[in-house]
Amino acid sequence: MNNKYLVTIIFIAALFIPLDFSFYFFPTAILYLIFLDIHLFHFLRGISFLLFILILLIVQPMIIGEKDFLLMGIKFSTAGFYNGLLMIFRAVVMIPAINYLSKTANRKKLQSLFTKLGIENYDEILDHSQILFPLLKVKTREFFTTVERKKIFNPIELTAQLLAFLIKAAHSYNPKTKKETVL
Amino acid sequence: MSFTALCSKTKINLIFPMRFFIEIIMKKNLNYNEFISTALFGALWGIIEISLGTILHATKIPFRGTALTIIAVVLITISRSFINYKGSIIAISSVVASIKLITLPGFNITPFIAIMMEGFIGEIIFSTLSYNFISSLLAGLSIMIYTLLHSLIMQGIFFGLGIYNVYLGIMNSIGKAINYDGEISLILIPVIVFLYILIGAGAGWFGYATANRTKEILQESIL
Repeated sequence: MNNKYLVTIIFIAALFIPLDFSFYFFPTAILYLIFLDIHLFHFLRGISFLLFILILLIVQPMIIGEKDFLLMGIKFSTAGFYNGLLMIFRAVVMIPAINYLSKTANRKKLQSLFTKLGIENYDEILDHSQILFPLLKVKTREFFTTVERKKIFNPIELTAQLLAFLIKAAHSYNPKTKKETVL
Repeated sequence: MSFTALCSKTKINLIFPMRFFIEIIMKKNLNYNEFISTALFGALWGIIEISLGTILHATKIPFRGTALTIIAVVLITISRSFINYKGSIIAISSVVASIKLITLPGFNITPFIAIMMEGFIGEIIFSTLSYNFISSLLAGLSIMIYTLLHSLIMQGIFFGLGIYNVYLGIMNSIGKAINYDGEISLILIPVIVFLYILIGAGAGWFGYATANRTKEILQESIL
């Protein structure tokens, strides 16, 4: 079976799996995903995920459930600990699965979705936006060198001046696209 | 007749509900100014999403999504003032989502969904209430509330619904630690929501004020 379909099944199963089966399902799913692409698990080193581990494995057992375990003078709940462990297992399956599905998604197809949705002149607007990229970069730099001399501190005034500058530049800049061919 | 053939013959396809929505609201035959302005605001928002988004992602600071949403609210509000045709915000957000899709090496579905949703919320509010000070505030606060819900929904999907009980438990035990009688989460949750509303409305106001000032500057330069 195609890996993409199997990962989709894993993702859906992880979403709805009953508690009794999850201890068998999650480690198996994690092993499969590790063999598929180890780089999918990069998020484990992120501070935000480590914070979740801290909350779910240490803080949660201290505050939720019946305290039935004593460690270094602090009372913990084993039920709370197992609950936290299951939640982490679930995330360790779900996050790589969604990352894998995102990575293998056909970008061209996703892009063509907007054309199919019926957004007026979508392709032309996107092309022109990309044409405007270098101009905006240059003009923004140019604006901030002149603004240094003017010393504008009001954020509304500063943003408005910048926008007016960019709008004027964008309307006078049209290197490749001709009015008649666009619309 | 196959299902696909039937769908194409009756002009029904799997994305029909969304297409139907866009068909209703989207203006046909854009004029040249509308076209250029849509491309400009799409490019502006796209550049900010790529540059600032990448920096924020690298620095790993918390509330990255909230920071980007504040900028998105400002740009959505300003753009609607200049390109006041129906469907303009959806067009801009689809350009931004595509730019993110094309330029960034690793594609992540959650920001893609967030950008499109922000566009849809802004479009619905501005199309229903027309562009004014109140609708700008409302668009700002609705988009910010969506951002709050988006992260909570994603956490609920990834960690399970139990994560909400953990948050409530943590809040209430903090309440107990400071000798608060009762559940402090009943105060903290509305405070968090109120903060998001305040920030969103503030961003909407900033966008509205900036758009008006920009128009003044442009008119002064013409005269």
